[in-house]
Amino acid sequence: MVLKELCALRGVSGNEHEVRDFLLEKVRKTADEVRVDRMGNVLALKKADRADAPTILLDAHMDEVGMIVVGVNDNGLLSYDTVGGIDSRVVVSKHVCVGEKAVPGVIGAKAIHLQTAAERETVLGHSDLYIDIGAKDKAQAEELVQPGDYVSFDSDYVEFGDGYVKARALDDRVGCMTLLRILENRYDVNVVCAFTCQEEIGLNGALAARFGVECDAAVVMEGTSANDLGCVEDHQKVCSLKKGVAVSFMDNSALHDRQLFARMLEIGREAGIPCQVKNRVAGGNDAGPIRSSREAVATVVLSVPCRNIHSPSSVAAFEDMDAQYALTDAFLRQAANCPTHRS
Amino acid sequence: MAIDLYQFMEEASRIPGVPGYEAEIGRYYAEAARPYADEITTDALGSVTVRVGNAGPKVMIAAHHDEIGLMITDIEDDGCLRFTRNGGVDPRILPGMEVSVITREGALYGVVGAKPPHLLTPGERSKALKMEQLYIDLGYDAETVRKKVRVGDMAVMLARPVKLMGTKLACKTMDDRASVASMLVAMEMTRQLNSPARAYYVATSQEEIGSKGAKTAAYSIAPDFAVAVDVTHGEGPGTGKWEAFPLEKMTIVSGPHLHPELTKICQETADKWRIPYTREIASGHTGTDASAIFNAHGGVPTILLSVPLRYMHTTVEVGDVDVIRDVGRLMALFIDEVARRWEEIKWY
Repeated sequence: MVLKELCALRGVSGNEHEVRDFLLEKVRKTADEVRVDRMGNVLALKKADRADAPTILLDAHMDEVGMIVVGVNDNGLLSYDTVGGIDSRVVVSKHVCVGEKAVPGVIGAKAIHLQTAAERETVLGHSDLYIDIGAKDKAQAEELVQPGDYVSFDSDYVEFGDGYVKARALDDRVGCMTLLRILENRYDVNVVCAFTCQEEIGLNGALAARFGVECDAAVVMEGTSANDLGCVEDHQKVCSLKKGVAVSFMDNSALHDRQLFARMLEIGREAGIPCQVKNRVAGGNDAGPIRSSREAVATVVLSVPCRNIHSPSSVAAFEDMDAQYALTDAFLRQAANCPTHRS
Repeated sequence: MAIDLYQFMEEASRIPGVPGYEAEIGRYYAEAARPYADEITTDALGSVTVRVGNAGPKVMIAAHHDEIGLMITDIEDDGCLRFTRNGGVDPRILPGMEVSVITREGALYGVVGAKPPHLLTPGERSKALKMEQLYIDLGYDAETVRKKVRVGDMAVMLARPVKLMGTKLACKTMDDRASVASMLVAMEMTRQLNSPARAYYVATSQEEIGSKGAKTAAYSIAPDFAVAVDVTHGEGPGTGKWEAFPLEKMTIVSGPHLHPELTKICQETADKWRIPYTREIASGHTGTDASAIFNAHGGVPTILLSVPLRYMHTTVEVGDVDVIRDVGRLMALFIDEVARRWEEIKWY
């Protein structure tokens, strides 16, 4: 399955070449035109089957959160900074891969036996944590790693339960998968699929990608945070797994187009595609720079709900990924009549 | 035929064995020990004893085969599981942890979850998550979960071993399967040395909840002396002076629970065979099976060897495989030395 392949690729923001190469190989088989822009975004155009058709920009980011080595300590342990937002709580007692050679490492914590009562109550911050590659000292560590090496989570792809998967980087390889599937079809609108880089550290790729694309509306494919377990109140869930693709009216990065938002829900209802409204304004995404750069364009975001997002153990449901694809596909089939064209 | 320690850790760390549920890991240990054993017995608490040798003083060697884990306490209406710990699990390692819930139908894969950070208040964000704020996600609805899982079912953490640089290994349950591995090294050597001892190599149960297995095994064996093997703290981030030790050498422990003359003989044996060690001091209770054995059955002169581990009680316990082998060698050489000098040892 392509998702398994996508989630095996290491693509921390700024170091997305493994993902880019994989995507290029795939899209060259399906798209009419493919280019890589100077930021490193992959732009794949699938032309409409008629002239003068509007153009829809679809966006999914190829990068993932991770870390970068900032220093090698005398004791051989590596200090790191995060690349993108990672809660320090989820990295303790986990596996990582360091640098281009994928040197295996672990992030440990002082044994519970040695902790004071106060320490047990305290969150270990990233500056208290280290990557351990088993080097006995700095010199030995420097045989394999150096400051600037990118670090990714090392976590297996596991299908479990009733149609769920646990993997790293589900945010946003699920979106990449949806775009790959869309590119297998032809619509009566032009479709530009932008696989963007550096989303996780400030939506940089999308800003550049949008600059080079004339479009009439844009739909951003995301994986978004779901807080649906642990008996939480409905209004705190953001969205829930197995309730379909989550449609956003607003994110921290953009207020989306009201008509496009309403249209998506309407299409979902008419076509029987499970969808839900993302009920909390949380997180920012590529829609921000797309919506408000150049002459502005209508945007909306379609997200696959993910538990434990930005951790080595993200969890999503396959049926929600199918819903993301189905709603995007249904939208594109009627996008020629979309009310939110370039004005 | 030297034991492949990486392979042993790879296989042994995959077998669940929380305190009280050591049958499967006990069977694995018995199988691994069979080529060297004169007799293998399992007691009522789940400790497995491998006897090597038919005559001479009785020595009990103890390394525990249980591991820390979790226990299911409730099934919520959204299908997630609440849990508590069985043994000293640090809840701070659990967010995002993969687990295996051991049910009557077999093992179920799950992931530990918690409220995402952007929904926490600043006050909540600076506090470590407590066990009761976490849940296990099995990927099933409540109805299905209730059919499969029962309150009281056990769970273990999952993590595959990772070979690090040199001879370092990051692995779950190095505490204390690394010491169990060292017993296999030792029993092979006891055979080769043809030591004039009856060596009882015991994989003890329920150490993590207070050395229950070591206590009852010591009663049954009634040993003349004992060697306990466990893990100790390796130097790492945040560890203080004298409470943690270099990973590259075992420790030989001294203190009131440990027999001074035997400890001295052990150190001399290590020196003689050039086996590197550091000295560790335990001023009272050792926190290991040694402290359950030394006062069992009227008193058993006991020594304690330890394998230093970084990040003990996490799923990425880092230790040195060469040290595991060294511990096994020293154990066998020490037993051989004591058995041969048995009549002349000045106990006090």
